[in-house]
Amino acid sequence: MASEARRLLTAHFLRRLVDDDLISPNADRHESLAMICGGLASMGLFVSVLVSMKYLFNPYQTPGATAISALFDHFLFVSASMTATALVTLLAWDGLAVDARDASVLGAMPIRTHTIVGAKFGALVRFAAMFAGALNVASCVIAPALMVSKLPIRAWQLPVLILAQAMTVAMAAAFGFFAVLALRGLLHAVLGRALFARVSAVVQSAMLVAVACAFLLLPVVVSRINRVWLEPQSRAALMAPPLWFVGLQEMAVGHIIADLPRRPMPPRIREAEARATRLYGGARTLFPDLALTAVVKLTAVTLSAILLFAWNNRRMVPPPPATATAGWIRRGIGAAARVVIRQPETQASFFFTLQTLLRSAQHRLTLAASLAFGLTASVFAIAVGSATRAPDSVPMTAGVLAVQPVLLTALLIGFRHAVRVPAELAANWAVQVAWAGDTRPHVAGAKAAGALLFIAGPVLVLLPFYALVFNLADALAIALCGLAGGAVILETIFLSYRKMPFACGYLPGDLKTMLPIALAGFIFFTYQFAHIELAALKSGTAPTFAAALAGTFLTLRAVDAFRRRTPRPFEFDEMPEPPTQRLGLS
Amino acid sequence: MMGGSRNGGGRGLEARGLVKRYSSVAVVREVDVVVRPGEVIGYLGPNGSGKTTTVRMLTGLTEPSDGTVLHDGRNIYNDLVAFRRRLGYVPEEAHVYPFLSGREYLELVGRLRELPVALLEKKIASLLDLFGILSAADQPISSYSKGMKQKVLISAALLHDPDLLILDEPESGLDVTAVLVLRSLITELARRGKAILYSSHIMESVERVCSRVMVLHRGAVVADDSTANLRALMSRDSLEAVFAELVVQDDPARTASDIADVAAMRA
Repeated sequence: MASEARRLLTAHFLRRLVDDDLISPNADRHESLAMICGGLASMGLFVSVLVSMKYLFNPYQTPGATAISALFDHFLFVSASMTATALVTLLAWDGLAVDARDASVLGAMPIRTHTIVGAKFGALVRFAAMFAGALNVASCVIAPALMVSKLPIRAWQLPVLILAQAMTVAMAAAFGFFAVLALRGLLHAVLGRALFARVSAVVQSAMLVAVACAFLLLPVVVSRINRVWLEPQSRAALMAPPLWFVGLQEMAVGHIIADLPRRPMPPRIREAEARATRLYGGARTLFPDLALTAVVKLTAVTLSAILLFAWNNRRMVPPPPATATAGWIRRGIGAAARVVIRQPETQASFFFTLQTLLRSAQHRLTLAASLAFGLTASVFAIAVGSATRAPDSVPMTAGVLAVQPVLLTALLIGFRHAVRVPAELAANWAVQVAWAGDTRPHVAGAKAAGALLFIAGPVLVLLPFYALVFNLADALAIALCGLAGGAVILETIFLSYRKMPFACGYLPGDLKTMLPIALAGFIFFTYQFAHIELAALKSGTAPTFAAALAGTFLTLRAVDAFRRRTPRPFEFDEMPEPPTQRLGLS
Repeated sequence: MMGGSRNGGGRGLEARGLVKRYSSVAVVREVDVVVRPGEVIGYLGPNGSGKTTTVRMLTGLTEPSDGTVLHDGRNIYNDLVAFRRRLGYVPEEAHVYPFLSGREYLELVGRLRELPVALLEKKIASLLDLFGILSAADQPISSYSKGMKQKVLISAALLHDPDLLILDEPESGLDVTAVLVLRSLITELARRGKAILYSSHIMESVERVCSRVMVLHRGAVVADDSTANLRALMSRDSLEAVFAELVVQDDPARTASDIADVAAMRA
């Protein structure tokens, strides 16, 4: 009876975790899930084949060199598995505990609390395992197979390598999952329900940005750590959790490749092989410690997560009473905005945009992802700028200057996407019933809120950074260019937007076509902007550049006003094409 | 703005031959609704009879498969926005933005309806106070009880002083005091010339506040008259008995007994 209840509840909780009918009235959960898992599997396949190229096209593949390369590859796969699983777990942050709805619905049922909590925990584990499996399935089979395809290993050794790879990435994924769960549980236990409810969204967003940055920067980070962690006296191996699991894998099966008999080879190759063998031999002394650390830390994190989960969910209690919003802040912002924005509908849209972006979990996640992408791209920009800097030049480089347009563009594109996602699908009727028939004031209000949050905000945050790196005068000029440039970006990306912000059903666009174009446009625009800005700053014509941008902004506004001179009809709840049409089957 | 003076000067709402089909299945069939200024029309029907679908068609949220909806003699679908400026609507389900506070929600609706800020703030404070939820005005709606959400929705429907009110089970979740206030409010609004369509399951409310009653059954209107006429016509002493006669096909006591038997079944 209890096991049947547990099975049913686990299936119920799992459905709830992947439910995505919150943004579109016609969303297909299975289709979305298939797309996400397919995307992860494709990514795993692509990376596996990419990193295996060096083995396939190596005419003299040797055991020592392969053992070292494999070490680095494993580091990449393990890191990807760990961070991707942590990322997925963070996305499901609000569902990582028995929530208020579960408590109110299931609390009245004749089911023991530990059955409900156990089912919830089981659903979470399955949820994380599903994504980790999709990401790692290709790398577990293809990478080991391609790696040893030209090495004289025995037939039974390939399945062992595959199994070891699968076990390692699974353990790394488990570490990522349980670490997030344990951290959430710890915060909940220490802060209590009421305080945790207040800080939860901020913690989730901050962690999401950090982990997403780590995931996106993985190739760079892995490559940097690979350069140092095998050096004597390096503490890098013990500091980087993925390397613990790499050590475990190497301790278990590393010898299969490293101890293969050496065949005759040309002198140059033999010398390199001897160096690689010595390097691997040195690394072997690290593996037992790393393996032990992996097992101990994984066990500790898992036990902590389970205990904290059980402790925090020991009682099915209703949610804590909500606290009132800070009235004086609301009144202050309201009064200031009313002076600037006169039209009531624009005011409505302005405030609603701010409230939705700051309070809706769905929208916060979109913005956190944009910020993570922007920060990652900024790191790349600085790295590229540093690499291309002339030795005698001043520290002002296009790379450093690109940080501002990169961040602004990423955040504004994220904002443009967030505006399309309904604030609360079921509540859209309220806007429909009260709508006065013209979207222009609503789009204007949303843009004003976007300008405040995603242009003025980041420019102000970056001002001290630029003042520190350069000087205050240059920093002010850069801020001026940032404000004008941000306004140009905002106007450009909203030129084609025709719907009611946050109040229409969401239909995803054609990502396959648009994503590469958007990415190319993003890189081209931000770098060109930075180069022109650099030239303007060096020639003392930054105010002219800012004025030109302001002129462009005004022209775009005029174009936008002309295009919107007559309201165009649109559907609040646009129906998607049938799946057969989307898949090109009809 | 559509023609017709505010508060009772127009012809009210007229729907003729309303039909709604989903996948060729008609859930509403040839329904006529007339609500004149100063009238409160009760709209009754069992679950699944098509009440809410009709209400959604009357508000313009769902387009009818056939038929017309006229407000002051004009087809509402020719200018939905102008119609909605004069419409106050309380939906059956209290779906609101959970992350907004009650006050913020009313500010959103009021601003969308282009009310002057000073007037809006005054109205919001007064309505929340009169409904007894001013102390919770700045708490997120997600923490509200169903009755509190309903009070916010009723306040939102009244903010812009509409000519036409469509209330779909407005007493849902309200406590006894609030229900009494609501009944008096509806009577008072009708006295001031508002046209009101009042869809409800609660016979007592309908009997007390409505001048005329429409009964819907399986998507079609089976009765449309004043409560007194309906009682006299069907020789029943209460609206509840009239309703039972019109739409209840099985004996409720027998059905209740059968349900209790099923509940008592043993393996």
